[in-house]
Amino acid sequence: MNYTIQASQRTPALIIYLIDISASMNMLMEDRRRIDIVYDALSLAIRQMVFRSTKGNRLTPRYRIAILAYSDDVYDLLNGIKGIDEIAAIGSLPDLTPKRFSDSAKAFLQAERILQAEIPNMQDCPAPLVCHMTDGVATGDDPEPIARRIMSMSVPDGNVLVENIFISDHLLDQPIAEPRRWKGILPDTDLKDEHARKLMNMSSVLPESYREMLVEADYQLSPGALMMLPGTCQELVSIGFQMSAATPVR
Amino acid sequence: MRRSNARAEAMSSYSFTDTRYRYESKQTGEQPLTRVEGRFTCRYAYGRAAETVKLSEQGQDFMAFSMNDQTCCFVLCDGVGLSYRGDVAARFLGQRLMSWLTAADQPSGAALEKRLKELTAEAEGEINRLEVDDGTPELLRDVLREKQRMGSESMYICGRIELPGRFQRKGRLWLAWQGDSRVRLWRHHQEVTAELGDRFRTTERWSTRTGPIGGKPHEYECRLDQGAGYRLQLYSDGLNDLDPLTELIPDEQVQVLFNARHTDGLEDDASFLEIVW
Repeated sequence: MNYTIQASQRTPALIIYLIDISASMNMLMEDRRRIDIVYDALSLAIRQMVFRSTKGNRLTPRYRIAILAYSDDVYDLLNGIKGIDEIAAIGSLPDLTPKRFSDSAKAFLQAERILQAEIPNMQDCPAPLVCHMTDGVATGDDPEPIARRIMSMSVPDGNVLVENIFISDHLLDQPIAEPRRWKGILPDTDLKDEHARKLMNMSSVLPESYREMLVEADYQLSPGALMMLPGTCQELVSIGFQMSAATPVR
Repeated sequence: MRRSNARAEAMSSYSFTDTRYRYESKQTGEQPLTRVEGRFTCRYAYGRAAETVKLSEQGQDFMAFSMNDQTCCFVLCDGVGLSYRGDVAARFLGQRLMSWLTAADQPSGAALEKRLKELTAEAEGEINRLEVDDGTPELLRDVLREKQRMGSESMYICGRIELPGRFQRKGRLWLAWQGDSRVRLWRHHQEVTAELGDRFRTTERWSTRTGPIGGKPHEYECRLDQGAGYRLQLYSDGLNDLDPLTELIPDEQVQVLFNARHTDGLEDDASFLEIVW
């Protein structure tokens, strides 16, 4: 239970992305629509996975990915779980088009179903990860009980990890001036926003192996930091998606 | 000298005279455990990851050694899989280090560091000449070209053993390394690997673009006594099952590790070299 199993062709990592495509994702951040920033950050994370999956001139399927966009319904953008090699062959991600509401509980429920089907066959693999990106309050049922159930699922490498990227300007007392020097949100960090506190309860502790990968990429998150990122700028959103792909590899 | 192994050897290069023996792994095939006996007794083996064998690709480890009645030079390189064509860096560096070790009067850390920097010009040219297949999907092609610009990397261990001789009352062991490949030493049949220090780090390696990464090469040197029962063992991290074992392992059991039937073949490339004198 220490999150050290390396993602490999034989033991691929499973990452499920839950992307909020509610209407508010049309709002601007640093002069760009939030949804476009998320799209770029997700594309960069996919590129990072390709980078970490090449051996020689070949792409080994070390990652398996599902992308669920949600509004008042859930949209499976890849039609199931796809290997990183299949995604690279497609070339680009499907468009993310904002719709209306933000029913994250439905998305977490679908993620739970995927995990229930996959986990029996993942006993030698790295612990799966669910990366949830949202910019506002959930409009459906409370997603926290479902997220807690997901976090209690496990493989020998560790419990399923849940990460949250919360695009909001009102999360912390102070703006984060230097994202690369930022220590992260710790369990005792005082968050101003009630929804942020809920997301905090739905966020796993960053495994040390993931933290070491991020330190190598020059991010200074503290031991014990939570897998929760305040998306107050493009760089922090990007760090959040990079965190999701920080499964150990050789 | 006398040489023996369990199976016919197909994929290695070796040369053999009465007083001299050389071996160089080919990266395209396996080397069953082989034993060569002279003033030094060497056991060595080389295997590729099952995935690499299946796809007929090059192993990312490289290993070579040469020995005569007085001296043994050796190198073990573990190409970094995440860099561009780690197999190329491992082979390039291994071959150049063997030439350097064989020719050097007195290898030293400073001289090695200088050599590692000098090698980058030629190595970068070799890497830049490699082509990325035009049929490769665009995203993968972009990533490979980015990696190519960043260079190819390899961890390494190299060294030279000089036995006590007519003009040199005491012999000498010199070792240098960067990375986390294993090197272990026994004296009077007791393991004394702790003398090498806790200096085996994954973040340290050699790059075709910049030379040593993560610091200078680590170095260890000691004088050698006559008849002190020395054993030096080198292996890449694909054989980390050996880590807890301090006793001499029978040939058949080393071969069992290479066969890795319990996992349908090796999960990572593996090189093994053991020198006893």
